[in-house]
Amino acid sequence: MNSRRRIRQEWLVGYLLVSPLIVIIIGLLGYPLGQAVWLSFTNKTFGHVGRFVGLKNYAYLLRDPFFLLALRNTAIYAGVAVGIKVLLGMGMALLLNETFKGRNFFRAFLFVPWVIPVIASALAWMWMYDPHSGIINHVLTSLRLIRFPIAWLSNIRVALLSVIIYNVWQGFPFHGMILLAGLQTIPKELYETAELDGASAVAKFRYITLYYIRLPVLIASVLSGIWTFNEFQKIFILTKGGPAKATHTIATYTYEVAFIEQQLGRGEAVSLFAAPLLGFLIFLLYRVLGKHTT
Amino acid sequence: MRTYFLRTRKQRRKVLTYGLLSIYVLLVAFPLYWMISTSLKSPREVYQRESIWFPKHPSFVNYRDLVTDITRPFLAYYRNSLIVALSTTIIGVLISLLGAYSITRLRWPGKGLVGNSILVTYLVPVSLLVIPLYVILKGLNLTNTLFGLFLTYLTRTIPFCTWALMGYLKTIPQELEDAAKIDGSGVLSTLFRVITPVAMPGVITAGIFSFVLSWNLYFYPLIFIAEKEKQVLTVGLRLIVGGDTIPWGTLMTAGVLTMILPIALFVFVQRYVVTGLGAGAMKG
Repeated sequence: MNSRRRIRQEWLVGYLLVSPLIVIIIGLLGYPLGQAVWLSFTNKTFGHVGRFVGLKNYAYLLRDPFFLLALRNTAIYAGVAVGIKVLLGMGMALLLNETFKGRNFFRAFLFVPWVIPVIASALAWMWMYDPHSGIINHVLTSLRLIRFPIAWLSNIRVALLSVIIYNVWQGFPFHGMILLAGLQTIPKELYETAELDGASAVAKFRYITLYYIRLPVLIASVLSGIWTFNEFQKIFILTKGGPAKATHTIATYTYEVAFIEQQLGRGEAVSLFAAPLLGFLIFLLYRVLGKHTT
Repeated sequence: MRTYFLRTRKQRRKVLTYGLLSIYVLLVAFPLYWMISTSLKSPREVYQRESIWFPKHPSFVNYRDLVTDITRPFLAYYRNSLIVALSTTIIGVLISLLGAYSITRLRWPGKGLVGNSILVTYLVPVSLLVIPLYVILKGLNLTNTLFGLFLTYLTRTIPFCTWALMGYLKTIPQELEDAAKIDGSGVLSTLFRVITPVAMPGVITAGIFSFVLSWNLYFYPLIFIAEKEKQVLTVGLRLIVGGDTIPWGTLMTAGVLTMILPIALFVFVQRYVVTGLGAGAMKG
């Protein structure tokens, strides 16, 4: 009897402590998510109550060349950026795991791009990319690598690449830190034993280092893949999805359709169209995390 | 001489390390340098070739103008950002800590479901939620208010903080808590007197994460705040400069002032972050 009351009491306390969390998650995440799905099946615009239109928004988008372009851009943007970030992050982690003077300082310093506000670094890059007075064109023309200044953010052929470069600069330290934490879990004796057995540096890297950090690499990649996939601010500040709607991704195109063209229902459909792919990435993350804990 | 210098493996490794380090440092430092040096140039110097690498006559005139010019509500944006970021951080971390403790340490039906789905809620894209949240805030009369921003910012910070804190709390041995319970300590006092001090690196990581994230949020204020005076820094930075030609000196100055706070915070707690981030990511 007494123990039963104890269990009841534990339930009550448990629910009580977790209740603010639940209220916020359901009220400001679950409910709006349901609304979002509903809106995507309506023709809601500003000031008008939407009417149910079935799959019309989705059908419209399948024939919308700008939407298809945004979908393609999102895949390129996320894929290329994450790939480079993983490589740069790996180099950074291996470097910071060495012993050298001032290591603690550099561990903090190389993390700075990820810590400073995106608005500040995005504006700095925008200014570096400036076609007339920007430093990048100045250096490239001085070195005679290019003859005419390049409009990094308004030339249709390089704009997406310019945004990717900035994204990589801002995001690689996150990979570096996660991988560094992973490297620190490798027992030092393993390397010593391998060395006694005459293993080469390449073999040690392949069979010890990579083996130990494969899961942190995956976790960091999937997480940053999801972030990059959902990215709004960096593209919006640098190009606003231009020139000629050429650098839109799912997030900025949602904004364009919902708030510029004022088609709220169709805007939701833009966002939801990518949900299955996002769902797959999240599923992947859970599988990896599950493996990692056991 | 050179072959002698690079003869041993140890020396080669050293050279490789410092070479790689220089590349990384240059890569990270250059945009920061470019921002700071531009902020110290006069409006005319910004566009002059002779002063492109560093200001010939460095001055703080941009800083003075930005802070004193009352037609530019820079300080108001700064204050608004500070209010929203601090309240989101303090309340958000508290809610997350209570939740994470309840999920990892107390037994109640349904906790498995909550614990497993918490991270998913963090990964729901902002672009999906921004339209319905706008409709909800409009209905509650909370558009154009900092309180509305605070509420919606919480949904971005709480899921990750709870997840990270769960990871951290799992690393704290149960015996610590049992000892406190035997001494007759209640749930809340166990949490705040026994667990929290040990979990401080995790709590600080969650706090820094919340602050940096809230300081950074862009999409929500862009949609929810229409009145210029109520705006926060992220969106406001572009509003302080009107017109077609961009005064880069002013903008870079605003950028430097915007990043000072997160950097200072980071320097202050840097040693906790690496352990906290590590524990959160490694222990799942």
